[in-house]
Amino acid sequence: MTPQEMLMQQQGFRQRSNLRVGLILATVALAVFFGFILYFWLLGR
Amino acid sequence: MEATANGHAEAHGHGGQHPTGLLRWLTTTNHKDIGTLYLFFSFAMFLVGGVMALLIRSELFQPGLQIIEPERFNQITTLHGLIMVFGAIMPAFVGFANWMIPLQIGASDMAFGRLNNLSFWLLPPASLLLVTSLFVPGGAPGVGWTLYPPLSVQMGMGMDLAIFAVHILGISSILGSINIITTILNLRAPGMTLMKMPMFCWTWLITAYLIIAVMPVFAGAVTMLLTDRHFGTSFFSAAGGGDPVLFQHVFWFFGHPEVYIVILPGFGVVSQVIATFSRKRLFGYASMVYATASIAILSFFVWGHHMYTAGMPVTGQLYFMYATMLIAIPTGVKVFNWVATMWRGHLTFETPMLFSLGFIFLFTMGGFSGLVLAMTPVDVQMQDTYYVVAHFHYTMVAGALFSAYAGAYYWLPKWTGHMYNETLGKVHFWLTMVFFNMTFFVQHFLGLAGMPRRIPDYALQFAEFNKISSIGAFGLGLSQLLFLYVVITCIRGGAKASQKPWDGAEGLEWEVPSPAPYHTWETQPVVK
Repeated sequence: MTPQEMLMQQQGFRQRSNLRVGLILATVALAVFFGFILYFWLLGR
Repeated sequence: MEATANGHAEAHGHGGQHPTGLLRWLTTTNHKDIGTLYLFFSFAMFLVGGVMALLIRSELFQPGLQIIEPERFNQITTLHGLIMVFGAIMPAFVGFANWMIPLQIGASDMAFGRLNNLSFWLLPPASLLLVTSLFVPGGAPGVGWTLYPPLSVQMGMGMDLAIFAVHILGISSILGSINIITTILNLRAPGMTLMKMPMFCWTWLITAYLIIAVMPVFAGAVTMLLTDRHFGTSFFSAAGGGDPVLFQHVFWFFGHPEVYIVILPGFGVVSQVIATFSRKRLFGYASMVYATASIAILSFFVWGHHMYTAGMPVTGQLYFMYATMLIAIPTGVKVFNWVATMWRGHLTFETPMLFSLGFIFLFTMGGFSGLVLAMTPVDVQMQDTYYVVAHFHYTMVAGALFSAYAGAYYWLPKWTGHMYNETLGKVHFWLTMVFFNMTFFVQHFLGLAGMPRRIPDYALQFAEFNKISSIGAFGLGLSQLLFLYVVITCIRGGAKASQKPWDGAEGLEWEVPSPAPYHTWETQPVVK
């Protein structure tokens, strides 16, 4: 944990939900990436 | 707004614990350090892309082939576009976001410090790949920043380097956006509701969503290019049953929102600067937020206007034409609100305000030439002419670059603790304004007269305007060195900046000392 993260936790910031928001956004990005490729790949079959 | 004390770091000496020298910059997770890295990197890439622009303009100074071979000319044109969009403008605004968003919402840092470090350090190797592609057999990609097949499928290994670079740059942007969204959604100080956020934070929140939605599309498109090149697929190869026009659709589904990714944070900067130097609250704050969101949403539905001539049913052309014109409505709302903010304000014209006014004037011109190009019958004539080049430079340079300069001059006192040289700042603005128009205004006429873009040679009839444009480009390029001088002298010294050097400024960033301490808002401010 970085000093800033530690401080944020002490201040009561919601560290765990940070990770959740980050993971949801990363999943969306990966889904769009693979979804586009898969869609056009299936379209050509 | 009321803020509580923020001197925790100094009181406990936390400020002195971070590594120094190169290690500090390599390992930093501090939003201000990373913001500074982004800003310096983007300016360095701006100079690299600028030198390429000057090579292009040198070749076009007079008809005939003088300096660069045609293949090299196309490669430099491609790299100029890629570097300016992905290496200069986008990182510049990410730099602003890193520096200002935590300060403006009362957070002690970005949500993911290490991820932030990674986002930045992905950029230099990616840019290095782009530049070194010039020196591999076959040279850099000569296909234009749009990377259209079939040429991009057939080019040499420089294309592979560019594809890899685009992948890395895309990952960097997506990680940065995840960080920005999480920071804004989770780390706002108590009382800082979404509708109290400064416009810069709002525009970045919307931009970050745009990046997450469309960057993977671009990454997907270049991945399909890569598999077409090396792994036997035929997504875009007509010979294998694919369709080269498919790439254009996928690219522009990314490419048009990308235009707004570049410009929306600039809108945020200008909104704040104009309110400050008008000494008034921003007119129509809520409508500004909704207009920004509308522009972002509409940007997903207009990609076809980039490919009217690629083969499209008339109904498709009509749809894209009208959908594109719709964007003028929220954009008009914004321009109206900026003007209304200035109406009966106590205006002063410091450098940030001058760049913001220049932005409104020139960006609106770029918007109007965009409306001209949105009309299918007109665009069929103008497609791939210098009119298009003039149009997007009015939006990208006079839009994004001018707003970036406005932001840099506006926040320099907060970053460095010193006031910049106002006289030199104003000289920088006027030189930039005059030479920008000298370079690009004449290109409207060149385009209307039929001069195609992306060519190293041209008919004799275009000689005069090209000469004017080239002289303007050199003036524009040299003027930017003045900015570098102003920034360096501002960092090294100058009049001390107060906590709030602009009397009309509002927001949490002006509640911390200048320069902003290494750690800020370790005690949450309370926003009323």
